[in-house]
Amino acid sequence: MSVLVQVVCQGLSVGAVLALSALGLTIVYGVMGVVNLAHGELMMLGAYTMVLLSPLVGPWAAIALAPLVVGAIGLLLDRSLIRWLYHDPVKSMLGTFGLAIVLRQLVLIVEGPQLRYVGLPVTGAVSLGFGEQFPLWRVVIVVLAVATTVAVALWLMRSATGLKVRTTTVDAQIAESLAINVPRVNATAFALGAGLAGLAGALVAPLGSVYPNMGVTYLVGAFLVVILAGLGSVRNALAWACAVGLLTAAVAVPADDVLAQVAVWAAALTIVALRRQTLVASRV
Amino acid sequence: MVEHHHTRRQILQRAGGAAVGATSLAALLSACGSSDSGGSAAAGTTAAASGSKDAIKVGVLFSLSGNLSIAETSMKNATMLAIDELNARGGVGGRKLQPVVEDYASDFGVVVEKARKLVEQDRVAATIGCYASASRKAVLPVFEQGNAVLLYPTFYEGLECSTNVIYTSLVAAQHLTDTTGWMVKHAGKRIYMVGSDYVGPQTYNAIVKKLAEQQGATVLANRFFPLDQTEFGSALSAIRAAKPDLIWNTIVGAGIPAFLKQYQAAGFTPQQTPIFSGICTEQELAAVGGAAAKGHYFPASYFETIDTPENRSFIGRYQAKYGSAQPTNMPMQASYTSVLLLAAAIEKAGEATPGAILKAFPGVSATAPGEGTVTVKDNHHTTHTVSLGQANDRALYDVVERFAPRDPDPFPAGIVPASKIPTCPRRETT
Repeated sequence: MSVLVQVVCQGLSVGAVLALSALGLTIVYGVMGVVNLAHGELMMLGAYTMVLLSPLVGPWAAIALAPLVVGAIGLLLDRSLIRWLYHDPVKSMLGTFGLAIVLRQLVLIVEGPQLRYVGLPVTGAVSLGFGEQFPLWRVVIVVLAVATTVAVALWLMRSATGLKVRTTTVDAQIAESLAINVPRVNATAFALGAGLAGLAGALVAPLGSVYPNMGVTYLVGAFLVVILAGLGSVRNALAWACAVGLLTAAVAVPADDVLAQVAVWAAALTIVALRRQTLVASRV
Repeated sequence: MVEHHHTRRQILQRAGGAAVGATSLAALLSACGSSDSGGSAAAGTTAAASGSKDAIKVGVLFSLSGNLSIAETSMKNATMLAIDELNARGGVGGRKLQPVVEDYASDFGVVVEKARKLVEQDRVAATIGCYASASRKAVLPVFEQGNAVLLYPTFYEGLECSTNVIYTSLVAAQHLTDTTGWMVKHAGKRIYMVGSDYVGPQTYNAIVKKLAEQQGATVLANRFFPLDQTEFGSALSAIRAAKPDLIWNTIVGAGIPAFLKQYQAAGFTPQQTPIFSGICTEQELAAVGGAAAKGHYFPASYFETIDTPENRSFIGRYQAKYGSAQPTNMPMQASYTSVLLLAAAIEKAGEATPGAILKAFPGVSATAPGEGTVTVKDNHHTTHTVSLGQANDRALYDVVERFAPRDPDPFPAGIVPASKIPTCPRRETT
């Protein structure tokens, strides 16, 4: 029983981070067909926002500002670079791969290679029974991840802009003929994706440290979830993120983390192979 | 050394083909530029020496750019401080040391090119340099084939004793033996081991496991993580269930702040279950922060907090030259000491040729700042005095115990089968 409690809590905690990082990635692909290999670097920028702003405005305000700062950077990137890469997966992969290098290197030059410290905004742990404790900060991450995913899904399904985004996702040309300002929708979607990456980066920063290359690790996990959920699907991303998190914890808690990685990738490969279909989900 | 900074992890990743990066490009670019910049970097500090025909050329081979530069720039600085001070005292036997600085840009391909340049073109008398074990392994053939001298100033896992390398910092068994005894005596006999999954931490953990078991302790688990792992929730659950008295930790790089912070957040305290780390200098500890670091342990032959007149003077001279905020740590102190050992060996040899210097090295001593006398032994490793540090709330280590000086043993019995223990030194490459 104790092991089960550990696995569920740890699984949800890992899943929450995966979901947050996958969300922006999948929206950007869904709307404009851009495979954004710089998504991890956008997370890294969110983490650095946390490093630089939390001494000035406090950790909570820094977390609130991180998606705005990185969203604004995303907007600039979209208008200057990303818009040339729409609906061409190969071109977009090459372009964003290059962008990722430039972003990492810029941060390395400006901020240096050292690990940066971010304190936990809340310390302490909640008791789960069976002698188990769960850190309060992980509870915060799970709650914020679920709230963010639900908010984004509601926005997509209910709001007028959300309708335009979905229309553009289905067919950009038809959307344009319906007088939808497609470039604006694209820019909005990319800024949203970047903002979500920024939020994810700010939330994971207190769990470890912040450094220029940190995004690479998160990108791999986010892609795993996005591929399992179907590229472009927001709703499935949360469920698959939890599934990956739970499987990781189910192996890592009783056995070890190396084995857990092997198990997750073996399962992912099997699932993708059995599906016998394209990796791209039916849109949205 | 064992890859103990996050940046080395990333370089390993890159070597594994996981990420081709900007750093490669930057490495190449700076590699192209730095044959000149190396010379010019040296020129400012050695204007007096550079014109002299009698000057003894010394290679200084560290990463001054790229991911490893944070640690290695301070090692280069400490080396240059020692050379400048030596020259100000009149040099060695009336001859000045002339540093030839090369930046290998955190690239284990470039380091070979740079080593070759120092050995074959510059024909330096000796080279001080390298940090990660991967960089030392990469240049071994250059130094052995060129019959040149490398002074390696970083603590490392051992299992090597090249004819052409003088290992001036700690080797694993020498580093960990007294600490293992101390922790079993003071913290308890139920040990949970964690580490990053590659040769350095595996060797460290094997040595500590052997030593701890000899003293009646039980190793509950020896758990390794992928190098880039920063998520330790599952491991912490397992640790809680195992109820150890103490944790032995050789997680490296970005994993260090992640592990210590998550450990604290999960409700563990150093009073109940202290962590003893094998690879966690003040540099890594800074990113952990005082709150999560406080109370945990790390053994080293040098700590910034060692409060002796010699160490205060050393820190003062270093900061006067490089800035008052510059921290000091074990690898940079060993870099400084390496120059003193080299000078003593040249003095003893009576000439500055690599062959004569190598022959002279065994038995040579120097006074290491904050530590005391260190002596190079026949196996090309160095005697050291290890202290056990306990982190305070400024994320620095306070010395809680100073052990007796200990001889280096690169091939500890029980870890290496008796039949496989070589006669040191030996050729490591063919």
